[in-house]
Amino acid sequence: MAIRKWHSGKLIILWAWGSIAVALALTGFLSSPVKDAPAQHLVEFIFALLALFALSAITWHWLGGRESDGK
Amino acid sequence: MSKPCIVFAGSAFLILAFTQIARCSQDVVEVVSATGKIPKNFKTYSLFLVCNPRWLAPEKIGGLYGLYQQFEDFGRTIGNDNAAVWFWKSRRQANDHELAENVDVERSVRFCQAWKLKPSEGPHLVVTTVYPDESDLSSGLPKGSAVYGLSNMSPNEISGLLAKLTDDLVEKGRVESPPEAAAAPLALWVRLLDATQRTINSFGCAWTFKIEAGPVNADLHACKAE
Repeated sequence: MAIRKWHSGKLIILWAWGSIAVALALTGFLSSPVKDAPAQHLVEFIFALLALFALSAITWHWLGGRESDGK
Repeated sequence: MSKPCIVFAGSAFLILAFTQIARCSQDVVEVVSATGKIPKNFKTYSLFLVCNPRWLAPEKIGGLYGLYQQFEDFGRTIGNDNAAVWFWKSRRQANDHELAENVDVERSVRFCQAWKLKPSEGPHLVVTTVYPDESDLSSGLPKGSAVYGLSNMSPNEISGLLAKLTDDLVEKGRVESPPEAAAAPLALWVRLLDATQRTINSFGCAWTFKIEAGPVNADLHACKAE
């Protein structure tokens, strides 16, 4: 029988570090006008988006899903 | 009073009188030769800087002469407290065929470099209340200076601008900095990014993000509560 199993500890560690990285990138993105350094702001914004996508993908692929309860 | 004293006092009076007469009769302060100093003790200094090579081409001589005439009229109408400075290499008739060669471009370029003025946007008219000290150009454009790039302006527009500046200088003794509307338009992606930033910022302090994961509780606020 397949059961849904989440690796809570791994999830917390992954998303805690990931959130810090995203928060730093977003803080950089929001703290000064885009006109001052457009390229830098673009990198920060894309990094924040990609980091969230990467975290979601890792979570979905490796840290959760259906697993057999067989020993 | 002894004779030397009388001679000294008389000389001092004559020098002072001639200096004042010379200053009163000034139309435009035409600084001639590379070593000629810009005179001091004016309330404002309007510097005309020719750094754009396009304005030195033979076909532009008529335009440059017209510009000089407009600037000369500007210098005559802004009063004796305000200096309008034009750099020449030597004293000649302004309307001769070598007008462009006689303009002290090298001197203008030193100002343009130090004050970070784009040559292609010139000729420039810089109005400042601070004495433009050429020995201290590295300190940059004096604060509160107004810079006008005349490259894309027609003679009529330049005439209008000079009339407005004359009004400001005579009425207020200073000019307001021009708006930055003349700046180049931003690229589409920069505007999109700017809009994204404003949208995210518009959330302001209205939201909080709570995490309650067993032993770990976290409260994220968009901004610090006062």
